[in-house]
Amino acid sequence: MGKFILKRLLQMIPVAMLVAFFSFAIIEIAPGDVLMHYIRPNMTNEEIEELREELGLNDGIVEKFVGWGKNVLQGNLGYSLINHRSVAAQIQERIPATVGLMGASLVLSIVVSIPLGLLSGVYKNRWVDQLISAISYVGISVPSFWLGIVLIIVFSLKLGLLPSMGMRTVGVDSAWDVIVHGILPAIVLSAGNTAVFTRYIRASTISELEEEYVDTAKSKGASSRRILCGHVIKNCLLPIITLVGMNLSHLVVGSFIVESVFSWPGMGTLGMSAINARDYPVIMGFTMMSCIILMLGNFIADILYGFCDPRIQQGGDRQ
Amino acid sequence: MKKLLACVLAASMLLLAACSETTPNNSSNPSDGSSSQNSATEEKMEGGTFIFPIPADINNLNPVITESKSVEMVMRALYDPLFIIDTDETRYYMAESYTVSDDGLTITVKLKDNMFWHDGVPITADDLVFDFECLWSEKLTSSTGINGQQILCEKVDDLTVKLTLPEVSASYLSTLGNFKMFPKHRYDNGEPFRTTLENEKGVGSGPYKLVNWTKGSSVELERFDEYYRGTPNFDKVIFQVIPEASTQEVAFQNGEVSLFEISDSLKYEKYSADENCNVYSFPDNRVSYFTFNANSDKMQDVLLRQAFTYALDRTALYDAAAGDENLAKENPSIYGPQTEGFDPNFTGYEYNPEKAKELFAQLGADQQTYRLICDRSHLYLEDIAIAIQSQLAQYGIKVEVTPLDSQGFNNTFFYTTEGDWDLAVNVYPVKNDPNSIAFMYKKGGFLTKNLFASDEALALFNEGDTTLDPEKRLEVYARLQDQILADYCVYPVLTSNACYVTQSNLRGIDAIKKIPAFEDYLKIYMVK
Repeated sequence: MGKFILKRLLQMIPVAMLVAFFSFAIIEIAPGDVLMHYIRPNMTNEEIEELREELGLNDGIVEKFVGWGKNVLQGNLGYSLINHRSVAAQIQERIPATVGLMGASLVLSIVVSIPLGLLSGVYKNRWVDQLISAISYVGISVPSFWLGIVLIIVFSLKLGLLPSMGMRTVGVDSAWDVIVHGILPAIVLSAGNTAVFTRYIRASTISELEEEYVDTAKSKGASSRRILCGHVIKNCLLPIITLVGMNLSHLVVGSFIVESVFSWPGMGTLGMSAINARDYPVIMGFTMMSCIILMLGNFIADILYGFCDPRIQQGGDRQ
Repeated sequence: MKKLLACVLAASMLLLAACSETTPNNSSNPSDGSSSQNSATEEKMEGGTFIFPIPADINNLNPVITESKSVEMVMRALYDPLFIIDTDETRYYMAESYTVSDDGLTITVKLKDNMFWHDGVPITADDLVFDFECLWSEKLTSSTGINGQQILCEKVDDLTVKLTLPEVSASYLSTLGNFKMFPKHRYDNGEPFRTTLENEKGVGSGPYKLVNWTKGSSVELERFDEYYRGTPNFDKVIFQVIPEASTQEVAFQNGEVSLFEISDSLKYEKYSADENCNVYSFPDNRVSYFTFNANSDKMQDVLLRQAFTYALDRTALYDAAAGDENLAKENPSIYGPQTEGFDPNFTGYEYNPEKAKELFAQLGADQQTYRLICDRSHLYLEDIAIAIQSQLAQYGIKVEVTPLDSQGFNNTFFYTTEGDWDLAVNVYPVKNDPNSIAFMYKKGGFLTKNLFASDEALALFNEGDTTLDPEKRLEVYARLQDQILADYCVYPVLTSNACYVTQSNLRGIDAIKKIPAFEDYLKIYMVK
């Protein structure tokens, strides 16, 4: 198991380096740079060139990338070229909001999808299955910004049950207030994953119910409930761990849109404003943070899978 | 994306409205003075909270180094200007008075007495002298220099400063009036001006002071009791970051914000008819225009540029982009309707399809494809670009429209001189003073690398700014407008309005009827 963990950790390093390099290259290719933020109408060309030099924008991509990389290795993510604040401090301010939202939506996806998927699989092709499948297809197909707006209109505007935007009421500092504000964004962010998980668990349940051990259990007189709860669920849920790891990327990408629709002050809105301003230290900071969240998620999923299914560990050891 | 969201929202609203109660009509329109509100019977409400949605968080609270429309709203609450020169009056804020010497080279500004910064320290002439020195050393020269030469700022007494201009500039007075002072005792701290932590504290002179700035979420201000012009009406002013226009609208309908900005005629009609809201519309003095790249090989022939101006029907462009007088007005002038000397009868370029066809045929223009760039993040520009493409297609002229985001557009339009685009649609702001657009046309300047600005136009700008007699000055700017059009430099299309929908109990948004609408927060209040 130790070797397996070490191997997976080492694999993360080149992945992170590649992500960093390609992100840097994309920023470099994109038209425009942060200089536009500083230019005033009466500036001369010489003053602008000085400013460009001062901001380090004349350096080549490799030079910039190496300089940034050296700082990162020393634990310094740099400073925003727009507000001159530490990138690490800005991420630190925003990450609890994003991780909280992602965590809540992930839990919601798992809690909702397991019973729905099992129910759908057990009652294959019956009306319950068809209803759940239809809802799942809608969940997969509906764009999150649309769902967000519809939920805001229904639950906030028409029913007045929940706030339409923000993370907390100005001047109110309570956990309950944050939870209330987080309900709609968490539902929207979880919708896609819930639908995917439900479909996956359904397929897995159907497949498991056709296995010979189920027939054996039936022939021994075990009740359907006992077969389902005692045997089938264990085998059905195992792939969910991998699925959660793989779908973390949806959460990261989805948070950009959901945070924007709900004015949730997380990494997504920080990233969007940094991209608009071409503030490359901040863009790199949040890109790498997103990359780390993804890699760690997948890593934890692999470890958990190893614990739950010893064959994975053995495979790792043999290699 | 925002448009898509707005469409989705509108569709969703229609569906939901079908099963909800209808709202009574209201014919009030405060912007044209026909409001049905009876101010005599209205009871002014003391206190309350004014919540303003802003599309993005602000970068800092320094009044000098940050610029954007939403930032301006925040800064107006935190910092006061010295004075505002309008076309018909001068409104004094921190300045008690100013005098200009006969030769126009010396301006003496007297500050009001008993003014305090938000931390309780008195405001004096030392602050203004420090600000000028500090900004000049930071190369922030828009207020502290003229044509690259420093303006000397000297203290006369505790409340008076003397400014000595290196050369005559008739437009400088307006620039000086807009200057927002920042406190010497805070900024004279040895830290770099652009990165000092003071830029996050926002200690200013305005009617509201900073209580809390939750990054990415909100800026919370409270009434400044020692404010020199009286007591502001609201207890609190909150700027809430809401990036999506559709979310701003829902937040408004939900009562979570006091107002929001609209930009389409359907919404204008909808909210004008709603008795629970008021709709205000003011010209924001931004001229949207079509132009030609001076570095493009294809555009060097003046006859071709002339052909383009003959070919375009401005009214049709305006209709395609805005088409509603409440949202924008067709404008053939390089100036805005609030600019001094603006001539409402000016007709601009002639629309003559026959001459256009003739010239295009003579020049073989239909053999080329022209690349048109526009800034898609500004209102109406993409619509104008597409309408131009469509109109020119009728003459067999092929135009490839490339909408870019602001950063990409600005870089391509202003910075590069590669000539890889031929046509562009953009917008510029105009202030009351006609010289405020000089930066657009100043030849050799950073912003005009790509425009066809002639030496004659530049000479007229210089003449206008050094002419102190107001009437003669306006004559110069009228000639200048003719010259710019004769250069086939820009083709003005429209000037947009800023439209706000407010809760029905909010008053004073139209007190000044100018943009920024929030020049004076003392004028905004709620009624019971």
